[in-house]
Amino acid sequence: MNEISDDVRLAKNGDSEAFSRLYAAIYKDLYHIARYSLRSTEDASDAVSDAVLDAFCSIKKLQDPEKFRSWMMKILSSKIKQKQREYFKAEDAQQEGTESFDFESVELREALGHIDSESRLLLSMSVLGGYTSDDIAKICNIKAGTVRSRLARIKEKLRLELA
Amino acid sequence: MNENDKRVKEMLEEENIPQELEPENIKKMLDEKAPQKKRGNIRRVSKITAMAAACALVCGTAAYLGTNGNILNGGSPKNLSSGNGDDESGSTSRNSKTKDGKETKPASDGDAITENNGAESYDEIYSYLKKSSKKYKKLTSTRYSSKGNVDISDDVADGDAIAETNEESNTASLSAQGGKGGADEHSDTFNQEEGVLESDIVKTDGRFIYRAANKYDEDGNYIPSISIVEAENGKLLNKSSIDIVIAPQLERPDYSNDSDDVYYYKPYGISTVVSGMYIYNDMLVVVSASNEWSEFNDVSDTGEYNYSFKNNSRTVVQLYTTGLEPQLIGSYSQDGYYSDVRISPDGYLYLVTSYSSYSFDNIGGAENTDNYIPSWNLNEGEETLVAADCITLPDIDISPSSTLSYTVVGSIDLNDNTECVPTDIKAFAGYSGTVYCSAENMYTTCGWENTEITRIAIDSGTITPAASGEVVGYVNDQFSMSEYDGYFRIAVTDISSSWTEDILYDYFFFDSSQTDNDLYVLDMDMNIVGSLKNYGKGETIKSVNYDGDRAYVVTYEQTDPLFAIDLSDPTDPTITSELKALGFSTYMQKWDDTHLLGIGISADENGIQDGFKITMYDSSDPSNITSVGEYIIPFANDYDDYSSRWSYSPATYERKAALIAPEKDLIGIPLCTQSYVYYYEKEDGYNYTHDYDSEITSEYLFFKYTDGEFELIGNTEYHSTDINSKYMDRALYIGDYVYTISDSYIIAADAETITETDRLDF
Repeated sequence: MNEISDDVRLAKNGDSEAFSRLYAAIYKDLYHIARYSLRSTEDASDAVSDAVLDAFCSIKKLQDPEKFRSWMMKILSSKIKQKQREYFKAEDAQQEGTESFDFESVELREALGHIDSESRLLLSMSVLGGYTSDDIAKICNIKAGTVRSRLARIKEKLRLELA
Repeated sequence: MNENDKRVKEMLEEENIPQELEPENIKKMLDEKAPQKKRGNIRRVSKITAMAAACALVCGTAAYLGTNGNILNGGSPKNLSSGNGDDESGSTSRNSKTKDGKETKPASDGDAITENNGAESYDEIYSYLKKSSKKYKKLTSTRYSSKGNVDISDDVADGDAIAETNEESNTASLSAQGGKGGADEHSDTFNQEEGVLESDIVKTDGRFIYRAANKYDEDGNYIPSISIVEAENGKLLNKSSIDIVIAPQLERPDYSNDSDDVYYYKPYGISTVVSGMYIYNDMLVVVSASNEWSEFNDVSDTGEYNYSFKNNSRTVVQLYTTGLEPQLIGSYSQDGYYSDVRISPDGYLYLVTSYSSYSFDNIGGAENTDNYIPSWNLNEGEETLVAADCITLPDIDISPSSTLSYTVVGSIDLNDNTECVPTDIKAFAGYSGTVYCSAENMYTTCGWENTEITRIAIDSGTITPAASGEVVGYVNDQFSMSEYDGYFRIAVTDISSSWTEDILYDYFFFDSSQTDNDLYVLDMDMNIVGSLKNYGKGETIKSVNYDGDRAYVVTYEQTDPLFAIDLSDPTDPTITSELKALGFSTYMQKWDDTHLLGIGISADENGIQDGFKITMYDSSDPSNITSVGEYIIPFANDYDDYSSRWSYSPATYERKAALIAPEKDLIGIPLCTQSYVYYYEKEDGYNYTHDYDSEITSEYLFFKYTDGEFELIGNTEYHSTDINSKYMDRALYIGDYVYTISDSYIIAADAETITETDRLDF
């Protein structure tokens, strides 16, 4: 069985098959995170393939092979944010719904629909990707404290407990 | 993870993963797009014209016989008499006229060939791969930065007069292509070049409607099938379906004794999808791509693992009878991932696939030809290897790689509808990315920073790789290319200055502010004879439309300039008009002689995309293209207390999803809206039963264009609560009725008023 570090080494030499093995272990999470954070299947698919292409071309920059997953997520989150910028003006994003929406009286699925795009990214990374707040902070370049308090607020409103 | 987190996770993971993101397809994407050392072009063919080659190519080794004495792999196809220069089907194109109306003759009149460009033997191919693999291992990296060194291969032998003239116009197929006698006129997939047929997932013969669906079973595996509906005057009468079954070829590994944690990889899998279909000569032609992979571990005496990943991709063409109970007539299979397919005006199907050998270390010797030579079969019978001299290797410096990748082109004679008749197969180095096809030539492209183009002459089933060249930049889609009047035009976006290091995120990314766009004109030897450089700086090409001597190119970053380009002088393409607008067209098609229709995305001044837009351009004056009608369908982006909605149109990504029928003054655009509608039952305290419903609304909006504006006539509509419910993504008309189709249902409506007349679930 190839270790992650073997495959990373091969991928650094341009071996696309090795890279696709690395990808195979995490691709479903990558897609679902993108899908929840973006508008359509096609946008999510574009974001993932763009991120994968960039990652493959830049894999020499990955120092620690064990960090492949969070490094890949970093690139994907950048793609997701780029795409989100095309949907919303910066000032609208805040007003999009999370703060003012009444989470009390509605069902989980509706509540999930009402969350603004940046919070979607944080929430899905936490719940789908299993990243800790510290991981998310590093990946998204936000302060860890901010991530923690935002997640706490969202999950509380969704009546979820912090994992 | 606590219970509530689990529920959220479950909800967010419901949707199935799109096929293009599956690991085997991602590998294919990386192979096509990741910049590589220059691969080297095919050996330039000397003294061969496209037409003559067809008559004369002879296999050095024994010819492989198909049924009916057809000679495959390089011999003359059965309907071509070799050495006969006057053979009508062989040597000349249909209307060989140059621009000034003179008849031209091909440079060679079908003489027995000349040189054979293929390899001498499989051993030669094996040692080529051995050298290549050695070089590859010495490298420490495939460094990503070629700064666009354009080294166009132009070693054409003197005296190569390749007379490729071509009267193909880009006129929209205004006449309906109906089935034989009795069937109503009906729409068909729009073909980029008249008579060169393109496949699709929906086809009709005027009486039956066929829909290919790649559905999922509970395990998330693809089960492809074809649903068939009999339609008459807006009524959906009968339905049936057939499953598409492609047999596995690899052995499934046995992991029963393996105690290791195998969660990291899938040890075996097979997935088959229908790529497209045709109705032709009373046959239903189904093209399916089958990807199969398996891993094996070999523990040596020292306890070391020898890990290998076998990948077997092949593409299968099946011929069926038409109607509600299709019967299999025959099938043809060819190694390689599906790239594209066409049917030529003379009734031959040409299939393009990309095949990759195993890496050199896993081949295990020149005798294991199965591991590095592509093969084909007829009716799922014995696999036959492509003959060595039908394989063309790169001529210049061997570029290092541990695998060989080939483009494989195979042909089938569809003029026979009683059995499957393969006629020729060739392979040459390099992957096939975007494919463009005219009546006489197929062009495969490969690459991203640089695009290598290979021209393959096609004639009566015979396939001859004829020339190759290269331009800097990437091609957006097939509509960026066009062959006309003996020249090949290609519009590209140059990203060679665009790779930037992102210090913050610590990776290289593509900075779109540094792109540039160019248009090149090449002769039939693939030499650049003219170019237009650097238009739309900082933008990328979104759509292109060629119309004889003219090209229309849409580039976009925040505004959408539509450039009209005059190509009447191949050595000097010039911009004649530039129209700026908001948003951008993702596809353009000729509406009539003075109008061009564009469909795409609308956006505001800041580039925020807010809807789907159709635009009518007046193209009568090339120096002044104007917009003479526009309709915007806003993307619903609504939030209120009980719902939230997002919408988009499948036609943005797939031009075949739009119905464009100027002959009926009808345009159909699909729109998909996803809204979350909620209900909620609280049991006690904080416990709830969560019966979640997302709602998908799928619509087709129909427009007509009269008196300078678009008018919305009406729409068909379907609602579902299943998040994986497919939206309608194809529309067609038969007689006075339109039919809008998803992979699980179909709605019929009157074409004048778009009033629903019937609907049916498959």
